[in-house]
Amino acid sequence: MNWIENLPENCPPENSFIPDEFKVFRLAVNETYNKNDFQSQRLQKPTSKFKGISECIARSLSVFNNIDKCKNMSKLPIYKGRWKSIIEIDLVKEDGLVLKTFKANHYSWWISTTFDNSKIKVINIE
Amino acid sequence: MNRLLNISQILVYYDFPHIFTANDKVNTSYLCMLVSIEDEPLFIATQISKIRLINFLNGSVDLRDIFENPEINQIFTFNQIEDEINAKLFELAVIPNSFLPEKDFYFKNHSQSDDIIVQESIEYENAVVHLAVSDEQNNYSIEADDLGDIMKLYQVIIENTYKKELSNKKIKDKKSYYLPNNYKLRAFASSLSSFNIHLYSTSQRDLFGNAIIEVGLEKFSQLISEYKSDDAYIEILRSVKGHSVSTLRKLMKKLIDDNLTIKHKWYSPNKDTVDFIKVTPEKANRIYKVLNSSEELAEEIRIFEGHLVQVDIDKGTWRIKNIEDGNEYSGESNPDYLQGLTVETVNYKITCTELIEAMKVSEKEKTKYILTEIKEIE
Repeated sequence: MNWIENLPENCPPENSFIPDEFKVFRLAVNETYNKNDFQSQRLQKPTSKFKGISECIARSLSVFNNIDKCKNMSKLPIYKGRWKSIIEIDLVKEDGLVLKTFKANHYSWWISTTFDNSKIKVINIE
Repeated sequence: MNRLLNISQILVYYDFPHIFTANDKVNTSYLCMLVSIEDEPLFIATQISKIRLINFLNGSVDLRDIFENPEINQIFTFNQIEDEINAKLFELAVIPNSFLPEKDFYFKNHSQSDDIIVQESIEYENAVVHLAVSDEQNNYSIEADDLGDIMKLYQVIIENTYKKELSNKKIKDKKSYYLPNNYKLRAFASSLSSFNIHLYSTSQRDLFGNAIIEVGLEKFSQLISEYKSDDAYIEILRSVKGHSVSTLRKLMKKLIDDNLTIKHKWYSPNKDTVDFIKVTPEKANRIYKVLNSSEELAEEIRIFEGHLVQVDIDKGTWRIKNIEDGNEYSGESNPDYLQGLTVETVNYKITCTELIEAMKVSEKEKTKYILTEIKEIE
């Protein structure tokens, strides 16, 4: 599988799984969406490093399997008044690999070059 | 005025660490929040009492209120999360509105009734267990012998389920995970709820609060939970067949014979809920019957890979240096299996039946390995 960004060795981790109609949610900027909505931490902040966050995770995308968790995130300072919608995606095997990380409902998604964004559904939350 | 902080636990992560706790050198807690990623990431921090932190974690305090009305009127800022965070006092008297979250951001990972175990988990920065034991008198006291037996059996089960779950996981370089601090528990308090022993773990944990002992605690919870059918339960038992099953059988027998009830509650800093399960003598009896229905469930198979250190065909003994954990293991064998083996220079895969010869409570256990198959590997 090829990835949209360079990944370190042993990334995604061995225990990540192939999604099969796995529904996830992510905050989006606009009523539509653009490539900025699919930027990992490393793409957003190429030089920032945070203790406890591996390079592999820094190159993944955070998604939730629960829309309310996503809505709650939109109240935090860096998203406040900025985010207007949630994108809903049914991930399949061509879209990459996924791993449950950190907390209940949070997943890290490593995006493949064959990810098909035409199936994205946009949900307005305002 | 600067403060040196150490990050303690990441509570909210979404592409970036958004909300986390940190401590200073005198162990004062701080709640920290990401407020901007426009240029460098910018974080703010405020001192927070244990009570207010607990109330934030149990969902009864709004995040905005913590920063809008800090208990001590000081806000610190920093840009990096490294081994040591150098936080600077924020000069402005009032936090800009853009730094504050919207109203009604509630973080809830437990209910208020579980505040005590959550607070203990924060203090010890690790998993905490409350194991309560009651007999038919149910008067907040318990026979010392019964308490001792239950505690010993419980610790052995946690050790066995932990090791079994670890062996089932694909983790590279497991050696450090087998250290006893990862599965041993220490008692530090008791309380009235039957006779309730409080224990904490010193297992390895990450910055998200994931403690490695959880794999054993979760499996134990699964083993004593209600099950849909005997067949479904046997499937669960198969995943930990061997010593975990044989010790669980001893524990259930103890509950049945002495008419005891246990309440098992545990929490780890990363958990969204406190896990609680009760086992009455009646429930223990149902479990015990299933455990006795299949002898093979108690049979432990061990596999070692590495080079042989010693082989004695006359005595029918062998010793191998196991690559996975770096330890040497010795055992017995039918001498025929040991013919023609090469010591030191060839790697083998040895399959054994593992027997524990003395399993009486409070006595030391002796493990014996009987070789059943040996193959050369590359």
